[in-house]
Amino acid sequence: MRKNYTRTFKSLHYLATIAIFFCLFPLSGFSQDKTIVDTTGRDTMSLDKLTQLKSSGVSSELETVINSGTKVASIKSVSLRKSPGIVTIITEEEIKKSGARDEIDVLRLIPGIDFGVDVEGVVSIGMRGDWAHEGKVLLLLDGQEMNEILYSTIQLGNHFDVSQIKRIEVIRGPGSAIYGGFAEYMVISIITKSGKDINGISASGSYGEMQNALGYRDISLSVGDKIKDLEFSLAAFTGQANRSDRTYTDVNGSSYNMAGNSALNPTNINLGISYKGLSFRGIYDNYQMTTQDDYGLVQSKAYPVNFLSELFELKYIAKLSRKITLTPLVSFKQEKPWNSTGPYALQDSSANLLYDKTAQRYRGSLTMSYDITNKINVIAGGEMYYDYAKDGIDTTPFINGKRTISYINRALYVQSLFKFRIVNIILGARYDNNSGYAPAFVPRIGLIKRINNLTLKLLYNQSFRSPGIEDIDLSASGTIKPEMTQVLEFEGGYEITPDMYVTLNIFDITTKNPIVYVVDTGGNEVYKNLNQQGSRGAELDYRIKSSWGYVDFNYSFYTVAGKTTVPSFQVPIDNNMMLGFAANKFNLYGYYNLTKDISIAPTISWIGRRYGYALDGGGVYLKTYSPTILANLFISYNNCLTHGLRIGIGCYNIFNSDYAFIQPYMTNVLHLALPGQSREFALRLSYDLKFKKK
Amino acid sequence: MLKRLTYRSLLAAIALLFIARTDVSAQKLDYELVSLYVYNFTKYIEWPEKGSNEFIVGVYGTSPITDMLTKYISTKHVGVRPIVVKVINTPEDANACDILFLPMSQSSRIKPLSDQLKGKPVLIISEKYGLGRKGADITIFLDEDDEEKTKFEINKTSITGCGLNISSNLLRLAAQVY
Repeated sequence: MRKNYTRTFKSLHYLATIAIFFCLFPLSGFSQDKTIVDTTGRDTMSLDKLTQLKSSGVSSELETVINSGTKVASIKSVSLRKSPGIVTIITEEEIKKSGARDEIDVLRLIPGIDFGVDVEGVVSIGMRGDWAHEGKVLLLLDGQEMNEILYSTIQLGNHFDVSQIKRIEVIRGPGSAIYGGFAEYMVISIITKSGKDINGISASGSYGEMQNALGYRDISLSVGDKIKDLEFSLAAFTGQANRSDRTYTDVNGSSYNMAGNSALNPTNINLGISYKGLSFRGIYDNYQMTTQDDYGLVQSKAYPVNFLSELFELKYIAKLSRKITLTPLVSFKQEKPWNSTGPYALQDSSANLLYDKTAQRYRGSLTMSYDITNKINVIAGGEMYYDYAKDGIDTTPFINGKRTISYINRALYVQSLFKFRIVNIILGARYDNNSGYAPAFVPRIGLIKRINNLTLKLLYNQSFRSPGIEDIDLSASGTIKPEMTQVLEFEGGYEITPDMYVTLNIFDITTKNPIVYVVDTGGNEVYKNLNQQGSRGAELDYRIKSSWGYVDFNYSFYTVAGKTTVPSFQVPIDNNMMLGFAANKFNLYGYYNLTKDISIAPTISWIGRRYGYALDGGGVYLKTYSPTILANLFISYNNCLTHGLRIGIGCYNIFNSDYAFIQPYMTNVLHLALPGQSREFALRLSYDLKFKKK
Repeated sequence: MLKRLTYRSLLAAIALLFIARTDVSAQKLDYELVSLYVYNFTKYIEWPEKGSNEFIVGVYGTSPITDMLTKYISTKHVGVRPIVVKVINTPEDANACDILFLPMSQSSRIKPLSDQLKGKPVLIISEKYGLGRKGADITIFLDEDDEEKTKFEINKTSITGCGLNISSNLLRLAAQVY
């Protein structure tokens, strides 16, 4: 009791310190001049060019963000505030000034998102209380699907180059009616800088040191430009990191030091070329990890687990007329996810570590967009993809008894956007027919209304998770159905002043036939459809942005009270929560411009009480993890010494909190919580050399 | 019972909010840009010969656009006619205009003004979305769904009915033509 009181007191003390810091923000320091609109040349421009101009000069910095166009939830560009989804956008400036080390640092700032551990040291995402690692969250990098197609997973932690990100657009809700079977709960779209954005050469290097080991060291180089109608960008990123420098202990009490044994080593090359309506994107992504915890049990030594992906896409946007656009697209991706073929995996067959499967997806689609009037748009199209997988090891054939397997998926989709005076309406649906499982049909409807400074959204979406190749392969009864979800959301957004915007949303999620991963008593992985799963809750986001800086406060809450939950996700002593994820979380972050070039950026995440399985003298028990504060501080100095040079220093996990990634599901082979990073100090240097203006 | 009633009341309140009529033109136009639009329209539209040596751009009532028009286009010409920006306070004064700009605050005057100017070579430009169907020849508006770009819609029938010749290039640039 006394211990709890002390912890609570400490938390309050930290929070008070932080709150005072934020409160002092606007009182002193540098305030940049109000944005001066460059009107040079406007009075001599042709009408054609004038119609392409954004109406700058009437919008505040915040309005520029909330009115910026986004296609993530609608294909057709609409402003963020009227986008038919609960959408969060994080800009390049926010990422750069926050000092985010990787995608986890960025995504943690979004309401409803938290992280958990799967197997083999892989950390991934949870959304609104639900473990969303496998096929429930679609991760796009420049429009390319980064979920691997064997288990449909995404892998996070020093994976993507945050220094190259132009913006991240997140639908905090379903997107299946547009994107199909990986977008059941959420869509994360990472958009990197275009050639025009880079306009020269950029280089950056980062180095961070935790208390007992290297935190990370990454380097990044990019070149890009736009020459008339030709635009190109080439970015390369590589690095090394440790997941943690702490000690992992398994259910048997065995442990290993993660320093030097939990590598996160990315290599990513990203090429984009476009000429008029034709565009090409090629991505090479080799995410190399080492781990020593397998499915939860500590192995005698660390071994590599790699995720290799190569993705290519060719797209042509043909404007047949002012009103009709036709977009044919072909893409190909090849992957070797969860690849474990190193000497240790080969040597110790008892640990069953060997995994060597290659998967390919060939995709073609044709989408038509028709502006029937200025206020009515219809988008319709069809998509087909062919999945092929090959096993590199003789001993583990696919469900058909062979070393290769293939599936075909055909999909049709349609969306209508009506901008009526009374209300904007979006209607959409997608139908998928896959040769490996039952068809899925997911409709959506959204009402969006703006009343002066108030914007209201009422959204009903159905969505689905398409079973991955291995889900079918490892299905308990030989067949598996896509899981189907319906989500009802309501959001109110209010522009308090041109610099302040607040949104509050409530949601209700119900998933039928959830595909659940279990490890049976024999240690075998099995996927099967269970009965039902769901959560409901609310999210609040308040942001203020002006020339002096930026502050965002967001709070998220979920509960599973009144919902059916899958047994392996349940917390036996709390009917309101699910394993691994806090019911309450808030973020307070931002930056303050001390001078025109120097900014200071505190980031605080408060993660409420969580539940997870742990080990003590009496064996494995359900542990209540106390609320945790993760606080960072980053100071950046732009144009330091010379124009284009940016130097940043930061301290991460200032309070050295013992945050751990909890496994959000219970299986017979339990993976106990994976420790996170200790306090870390980091230095970042970047340099932008701009080509001369043409 | 009470719970069900509360739930239904909440749904009804939400439904009412969504069907309530609202002004879709709540956003502010960039009047500097609007002034340049007004001037550019004169390059795509032909006015018949007129007795006056001046090309009169009238602004009905008080509006900040008057200063912008004065600043940006009053030194320019339409053909050989110098542009003169005037504030119009009575419907009768509108007859002398070549272009009549109807600010948002004066939108309710569109019906009598369009009736009065019917068949006369006066181009009525409004800034309230939807006024094109009520008599305005061109309506300039902010498209908040397209990065707040300034767009315009044209009532072609109304313009040609005034004896003005409109270029197909201007129609091509319009967001909507009817």
